[in-house]
Amino acid sequence: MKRIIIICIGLLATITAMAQQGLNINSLFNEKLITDEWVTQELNGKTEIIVTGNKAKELGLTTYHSISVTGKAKSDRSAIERLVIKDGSQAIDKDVEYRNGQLYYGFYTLKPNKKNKRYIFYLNQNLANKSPKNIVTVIYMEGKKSPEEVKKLIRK
Amino acid sequence: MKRYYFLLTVLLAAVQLSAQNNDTVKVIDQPRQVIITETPTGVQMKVLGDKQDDTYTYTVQHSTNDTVHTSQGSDWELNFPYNLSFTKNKDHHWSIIMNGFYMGGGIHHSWEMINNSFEIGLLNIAAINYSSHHGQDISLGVGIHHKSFSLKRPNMLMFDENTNVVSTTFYPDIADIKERTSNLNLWALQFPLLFRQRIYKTFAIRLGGIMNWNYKALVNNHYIIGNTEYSITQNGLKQNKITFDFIAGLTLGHTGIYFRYSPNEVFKKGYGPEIKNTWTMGGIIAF
Repeated sequence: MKRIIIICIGLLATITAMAQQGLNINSLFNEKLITDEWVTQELNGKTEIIVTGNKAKELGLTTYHSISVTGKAKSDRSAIERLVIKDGSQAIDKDVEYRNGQLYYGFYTLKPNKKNKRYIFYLNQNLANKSPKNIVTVIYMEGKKSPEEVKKLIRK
Repeated sequence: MKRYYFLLTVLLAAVQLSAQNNDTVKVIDQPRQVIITETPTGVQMKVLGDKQDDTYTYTVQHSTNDTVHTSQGSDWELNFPYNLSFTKNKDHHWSIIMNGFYMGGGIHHSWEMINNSFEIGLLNIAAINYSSHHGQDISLGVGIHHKSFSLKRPNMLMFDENTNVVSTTFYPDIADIKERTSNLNLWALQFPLLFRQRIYKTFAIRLGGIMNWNYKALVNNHYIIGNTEYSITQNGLKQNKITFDFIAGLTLGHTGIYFRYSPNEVFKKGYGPEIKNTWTMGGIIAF
């Protein structure tokens, strides 16, 4: 009986450790939300979407995790930007555009994990030329898709 | 000498032509706005919008140190590939659920006469469930539970209908008796209060307490003598009507394993063998 309990505790610890991806942007996300194949939460001006499993596979991804922060102060937006830039500094490829000294958008290709390519996308719509909005969006994606395919996926 | 002058002239012309070809020509059709900013350190020209894209920008800056910086781009129109319309609202909510079909076997019995035990049931035929937006669920429901204990051979259970006492004895030592089994079968309505915490994606842990209303218990002895099969069932056993169990489970997706601990005695004191502190383990679906 004791052995079974020890195995169960070990299993729990392993799975919890797998959830840690070692990215700075993780602090933006509510990891507790990763509970189902797809989850949407709107809370305190943050809209978070998590898609995994079969739902994510519909578009060729294995993980899609986005957070859009609305109406935050410039200092908060800068804090998000800093986290993204920190992770971006580890990227193997990046496509970024700065406007007025601030990061407008960034598309970072991270070092792939065992099976999947990994991407971070950042967009500060406050710096848009046409119809600027007070929204900052960060998206973390994993899957087989190439950077170009992923960009197509997230651009109208 | 003339030949050298001619070659030099051709070379210079070629270099000049080449230099001309390297010039950057930027044509912006129908810009929406052109902003030129002159500062003591240089000139900056910013073009906003063009014929095709109103969000297009082109910036060229000429500094006094004779360097030129250019940049261009257009607004990123973000598309959320997973449309919100198909996503479930996982905000906290109440719901009525049915779940928890399980089957399991005994892993520990305090009464040494028991050979093995088997149980089957549905945890929640109906339950009221509260889901938080942090992956937690708590439910209170009603389900059905059946448990069967079989005795080690050659023991058998005897029920005295006069005293209502269940006791054990040995099967009679008859030469051609075979397939001797003796079982105690129990049925209960169960009222589980369960708490579930999702750990990661579809991996979850569940803990809870269950109140059982034990509405039926019977003893069945089955054997064959010669070519004649006997199955004798007796009911009216004096069992404890209300007992409590504890359950814990781990699930991945819609399947998992569970452990159930039953600390209470099956029979009322003095009406049967002391069957308590039993552990079962099994599989569960839609937990």
